[in-house]
Amino acid sequence: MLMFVCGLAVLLAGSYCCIHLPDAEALEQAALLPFADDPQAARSMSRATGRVCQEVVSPAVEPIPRAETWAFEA
Amino acid sequence: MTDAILDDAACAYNYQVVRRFTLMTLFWGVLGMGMGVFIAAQLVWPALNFDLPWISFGRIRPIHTNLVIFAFGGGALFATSFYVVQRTCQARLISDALANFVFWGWQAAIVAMLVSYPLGYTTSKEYAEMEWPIAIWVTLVWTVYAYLFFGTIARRKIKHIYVGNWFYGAFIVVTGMVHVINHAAVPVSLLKSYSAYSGATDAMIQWWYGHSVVGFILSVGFLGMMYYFVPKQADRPIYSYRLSIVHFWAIISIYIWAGPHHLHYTALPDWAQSLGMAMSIILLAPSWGGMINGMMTLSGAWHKLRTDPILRFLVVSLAFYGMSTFEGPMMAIKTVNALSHYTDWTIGHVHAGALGWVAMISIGTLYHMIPKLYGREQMHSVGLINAHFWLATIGTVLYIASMWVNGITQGLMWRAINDDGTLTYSFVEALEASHPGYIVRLIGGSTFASGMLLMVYNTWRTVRADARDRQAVSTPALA
Repeated sequence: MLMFVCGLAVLLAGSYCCIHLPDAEALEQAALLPFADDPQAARSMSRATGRVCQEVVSPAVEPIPRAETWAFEA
Repeated sequence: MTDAILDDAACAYNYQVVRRFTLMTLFWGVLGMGMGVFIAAQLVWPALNFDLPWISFGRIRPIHTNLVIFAFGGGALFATSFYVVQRTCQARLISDALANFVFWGWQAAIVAMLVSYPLGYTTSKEYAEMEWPIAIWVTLVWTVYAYLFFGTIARRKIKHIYVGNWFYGAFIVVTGMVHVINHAAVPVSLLKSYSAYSGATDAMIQWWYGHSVVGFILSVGFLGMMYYFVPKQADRPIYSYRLSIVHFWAIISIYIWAGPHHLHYTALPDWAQSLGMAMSIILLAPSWGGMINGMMTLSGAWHKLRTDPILRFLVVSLAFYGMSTFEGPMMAIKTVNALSHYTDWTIGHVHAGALGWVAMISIGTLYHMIPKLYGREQMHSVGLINAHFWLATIGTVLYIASMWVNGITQGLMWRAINDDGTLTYSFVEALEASHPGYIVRLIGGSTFASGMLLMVYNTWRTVRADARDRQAVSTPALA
């Protein structure tokens, strides 16, 4: 019975989400999220597809482990 | 750019835990696949068990399955889910200490499995062999993992939750749920317990869990990976974001019902078997929807496959995903299952998914991620990635083709009867007929595993690259 109720809840939630999708522009920007923190990839994607990621975050320097002292400091 | 070598306190994203899981994924991958090669060799030359109980097939086989599913596959999912959730939410993981706990806690659980199975401590439930103390520990680690993942989503700086995170989220929630329910047991000592269920109910719960491992770890989790890394590597957004949302809801609604197809022609009630069969066939639609969505992402970029072996790994993994998710529903049909069940066809099907889909998308993803995690333009050697791709592809094809031939041979020999109703072939005759297939399977598995050694070497050279060759790892400023 619990399984049935859970299954029904997932079905209803899924149906609601599929019917009430955001508008086309919002979906477009959602699809471009993997490029939104990578300006180089965003530029490359725009060149290839003509689609533009509206908000691309500028990269900052992130530290990497020191090779010469690397043990398991991955 | 060498000035970028700073202390981790200044880090925008927590890449340390991603790097650790990435390296351990490679380590466990080599060990787990090595174990697979060893037991494949035992099936060719049974004397290789050396009459030692702790290296007999029955004890090493669960080590192989647990290492490749939970240590290699699980490690890849931990690494990529932490990577993707941070990048698509533009937020650092909510706790570095808890991230460390998840990493070390998971490694401890793997080691505990690795030690206990050869000693014979097992529940005997497939993919759920861990005894109750390990199961409780895994539950704790998993709960912290869920808190980290969903907590990071709650702290996101982007309104929309990217679809890849939905898949990772479903993988985390459902895996936790089925783990807890299937491991419910009555302990009788520190290392021995009995299942809380009995008879056909126990079998049903076990395969509800077992198929959910296939569905929510090996499919839904890795689809989350696909939705981030295929677009990223192809320089194109996913083919249809709308389809990805329908895909998500359809696959999580249906996958959980397919478990009974593991119990065709058993004591399980017939209606439950038929329900499992029907849901398995319906499952073909969302599975192929996702596969086509991933494949079509390459529209206009197919030429990249000529020069980009990483993209080739990702696309071929999708092809194997499509193939195995077609084969699975077909094998769930009871009349087909009457031929295939208990034969090597099942082993071939599992490895079409495990090697062709899970391992190849993980490998492609790690090749994409490793240079970024270590501040390199690309992997040390693209040529070695290319060689790895061919070793993996050839190994997979040899493996699954030999098991198809074996499986159909076994199924036909087992069911052949003479005019007087007696069996035409003895079991040993079917076993002898399978021997050439076992040799080809060993060659295929060894070929695949040897490719992993190339990957380890390539990764080692990339990680150990001279500091002057490194770049700063670009991440967003998370003010």
